[in-house]
Amino acid sequence: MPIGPIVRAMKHNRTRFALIIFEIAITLAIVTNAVNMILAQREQMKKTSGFDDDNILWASAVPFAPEFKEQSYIENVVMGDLRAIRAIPGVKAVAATGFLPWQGGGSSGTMKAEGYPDKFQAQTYGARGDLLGALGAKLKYGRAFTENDTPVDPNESTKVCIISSKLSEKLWGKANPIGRVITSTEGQTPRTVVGVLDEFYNPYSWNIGDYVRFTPGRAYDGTGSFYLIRSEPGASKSVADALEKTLVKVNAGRVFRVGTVPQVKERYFSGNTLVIRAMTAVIVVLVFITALGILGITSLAVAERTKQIGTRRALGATKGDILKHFLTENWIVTSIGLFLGIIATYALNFFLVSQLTDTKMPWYLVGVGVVLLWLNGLVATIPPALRAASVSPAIATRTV
Amino acid sequence: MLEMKNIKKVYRTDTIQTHALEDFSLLVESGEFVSVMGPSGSGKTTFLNVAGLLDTFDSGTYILDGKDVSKLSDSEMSRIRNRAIGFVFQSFNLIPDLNVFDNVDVPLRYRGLGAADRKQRIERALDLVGLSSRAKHLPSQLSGGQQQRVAVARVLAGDPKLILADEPTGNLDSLMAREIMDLLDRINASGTTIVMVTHSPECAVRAQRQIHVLDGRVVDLETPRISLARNEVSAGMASTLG
Amino acid sequence: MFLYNIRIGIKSLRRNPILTALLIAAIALGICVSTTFIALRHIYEADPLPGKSDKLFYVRLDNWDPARAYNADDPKSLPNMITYRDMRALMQSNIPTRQSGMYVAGMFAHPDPKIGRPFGVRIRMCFNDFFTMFNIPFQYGSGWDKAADAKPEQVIVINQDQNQKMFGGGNSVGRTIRLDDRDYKVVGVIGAEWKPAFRFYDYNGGTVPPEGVFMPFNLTPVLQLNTAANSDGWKNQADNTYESFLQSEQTWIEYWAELPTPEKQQAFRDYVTNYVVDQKKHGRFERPLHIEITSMPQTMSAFQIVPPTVKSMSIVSLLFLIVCSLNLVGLLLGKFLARVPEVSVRRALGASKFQVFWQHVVECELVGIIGGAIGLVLSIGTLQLIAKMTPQNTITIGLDGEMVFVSIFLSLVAGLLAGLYPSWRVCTIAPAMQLKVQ
Repeated sequence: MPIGPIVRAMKHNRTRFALIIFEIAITLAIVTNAVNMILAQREQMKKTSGFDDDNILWASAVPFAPEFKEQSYIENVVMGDLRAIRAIPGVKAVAATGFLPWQGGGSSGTMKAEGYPDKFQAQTYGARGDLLGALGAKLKYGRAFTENDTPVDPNESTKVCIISSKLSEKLWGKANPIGRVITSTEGQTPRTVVGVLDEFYNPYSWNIGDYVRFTPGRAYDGTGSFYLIRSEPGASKSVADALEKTLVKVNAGRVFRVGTVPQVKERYFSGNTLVIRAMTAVIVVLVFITALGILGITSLAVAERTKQIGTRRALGATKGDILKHFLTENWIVTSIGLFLGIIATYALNFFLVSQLTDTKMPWYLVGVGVVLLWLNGLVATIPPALRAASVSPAIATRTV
Repeated sequence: MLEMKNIKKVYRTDTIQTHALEDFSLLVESGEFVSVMGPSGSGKTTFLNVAGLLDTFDSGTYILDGKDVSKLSDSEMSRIRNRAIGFVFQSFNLIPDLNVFDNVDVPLRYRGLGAADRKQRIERALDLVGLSSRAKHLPSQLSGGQQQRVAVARVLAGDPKLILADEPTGNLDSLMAREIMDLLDRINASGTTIVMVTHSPECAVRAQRQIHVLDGRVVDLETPRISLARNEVSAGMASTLG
Repeated sequence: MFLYNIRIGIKSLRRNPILTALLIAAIALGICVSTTFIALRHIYEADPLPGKSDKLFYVRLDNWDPARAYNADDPKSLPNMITYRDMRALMQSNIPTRQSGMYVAGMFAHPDPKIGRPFGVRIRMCFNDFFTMFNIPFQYGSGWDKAADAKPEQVIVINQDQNQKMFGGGNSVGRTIRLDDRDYKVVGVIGAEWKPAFRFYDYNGGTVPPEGVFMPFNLTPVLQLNTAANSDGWKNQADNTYESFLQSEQTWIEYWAELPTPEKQQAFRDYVTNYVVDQKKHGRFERPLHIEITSMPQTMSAFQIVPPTVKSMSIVSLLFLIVCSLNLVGLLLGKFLARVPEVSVRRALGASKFQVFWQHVVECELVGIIGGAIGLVLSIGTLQLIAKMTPQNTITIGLDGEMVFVSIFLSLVAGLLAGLYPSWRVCTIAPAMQLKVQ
């Protein structure tokens, strides 16, 4: 295709082409950055907790009856709750704990470990009952808690703990940590590691989402108790329905709430989901709008140049020549636009990264964006170019 | 060179059929300079469109340069327009976005000639019309006569066997008109066949032969026929069609 | 003449309905997307107390572990809240015109059984200045007085929701409700118009709605209450008694002071600095001296109230509007230039350049206003859709008057900017040029 004369002719329609060029450039910048945002959100959502999330339910029981001041009374009720929940058909395991997967927070503490120079921060939760069963978690080393790990005297501290493998690696490297000791910051209550969770993740500030220490013990008091329940696959609904009735039967002096971990997870990621949906909508609408813009502007150009097209046809241009003319013109404009767009993409990304905490732009994304918009421009040019090709050469002999 | 037999061309709209060419027959020999005259709406322009393969026709035969062009595809017609025919239009039809050089270049590009060949042809053609110095000008920077000379140069560069001119002096004053007619004379003298549609008698007499068209037919002036009363509607329609 | 221009504009727009629909759709989509995302950002960024927020100051003190910063990765970090004892010391100052320490507690409300079962409530423990400091409007009654703080009296202020749940609505001032094991008298019911998008006086625990019950802070030691929100500590208490807890380095209290003049602000800074330096002598505050006394807007940005993704989306949405405007320029240019014969006739009939220009600008603004109105309605719908997708108990999503104004302004600017160049092009057409050919 003769690019020289086309480019020279395009100089006389600068405005029109400048519009398309800028439109394509900004569109590329937006689309690639929006996709980048989506990918960053998806990356966060791809994390796994290490648990059987889909089949875990939670129930909370907050007492208002005055009897709950008495420690032995609470103890009796909680033990009753655990037995009653375990007896619900479809329940695999239950534990009383302060931990809720995907809550995006929880409790944490500062600790020291044998053979590790610094103090460190880790999530810490107590648990009573079958914690591993209730989470569907797997052990990499060691054993689960037994009932003997919880001291009979409520004022006495437990001597053991289970930690996540990531925490173990941070403290002691790849070695088997069973038997090593973690203490609180003052060096009191040393706790021996008896088990290591293969996988653990619960989002938490301070980047301690991978670090946890579970201890056996009374994770409940006068302010209430919290249970994690793992059901048989598919039994989640029926177990959820039965939970409140079951707990009321144990002790009615409390207010109950029941939910599922998938709900908690959905809530935790609702912001990510929103960003993904909003940005997807923006991309789709924007690409559509840009296509419409190219279509509209090119259509007007064809209408304006009907006589010229007729003349070219009279001078021997085939339909294919006319089609090629407009597609070449578009190709040049789109390419310039995309070139500027690549610069704009990185400029916008640089700005977003400097202002906010967005991630850097991977180059392949820009490549995909360029190809997508290049095709988009082509598709949008075809209808008006076809209309141009169908202009009759006889137009050339008309005076006006 | 050009032989039309019983050509019929009908424009149809929803309600009216307009017979633009009716049993149109014409023979133009190689090297002739023929002018076609007739009132508005007589079918001159339709004849030109058909002759120049700008438009198709409904029935009849058309032999151009010894070849039957009655049933050609669009691409084949484009090819013939490009190689065998040159057009000079009343309104010049230069492409406003292209400079003089690029305008003359347009048909050569479609012919797929090499750069050196094209450059040589363009320069020679511009030289012939005396516009070598204006090669970089845009059409809007030229006078009407100069623009028409560029259009002629565009024809010359292609070296066609047949030139079809449509009121080539219609938009020009008499001085410029004479310049263009002299140019066409010279081209004809070098052997190129020219068919020129005009309703200017001064121009028409410069041709070797005058043909008159009325109601879509060639009129034999030697044996004048009484023309039937013209259908007012069809005349009106035809004039809007050019 | 203006009305005449509008009439011509409407006529012109009706002549080519498809093109007009495209023009309006371009503006409407641009306005819809930009308004939606700017509104989303505005919810977080809007000044909760215009004219006053820069006179309210939040105090943070670095009482953390000498060996390790609050956020171990950032040595400049300091706790988000202060200790009970430091709050008590700050409250001794008479420099602030108003001040309040505060935190959230949880209790159970026991309404009349005829009205409902017991339910949990979140309670803001605060001083009586809270209500005047944060401009809280009352439907019935008012906040409690200084005497109620001093004693402390068992009184509460409730909002409309809680009034409904506890008493079934109406003027409940003077009525009592049992919370946990004591009765409390209602002294004020907050007006229904108080609906902040989120709890603007507390950024610990995300953007959530305000509590429904307010109670004198000084009941804390009486009832031995604990916070129902975050509590960060690094040092073990001396023993397990409640008194030790109150004297510990545990940070769980927020403190706000109203300091209307620069002099008072400086005086208060000096006061706090002197206090911390004095405490250092007693072996506390072992880390380098670090005090943050920040106004409400500064505090909001320090706590990064606006999620980064919302910021990104608002920037992207403005670029989106620009693309729509570029589209508009192209379409208008084509539309106007196709009208060259008509315009040249108008020019020949004596229309001045400016009149032609103005006529076309009016037409563009018509497109801008119609498209903007549609875009505004669309964005209200989109925001409702987003509100449905966000979990309950977070921000309240909606358009306020300010955003409606911004939206209309954006559509007018988009219409004007997109129309200027095409209108200028069309008004430079020479009057006679086209008549010759016709």
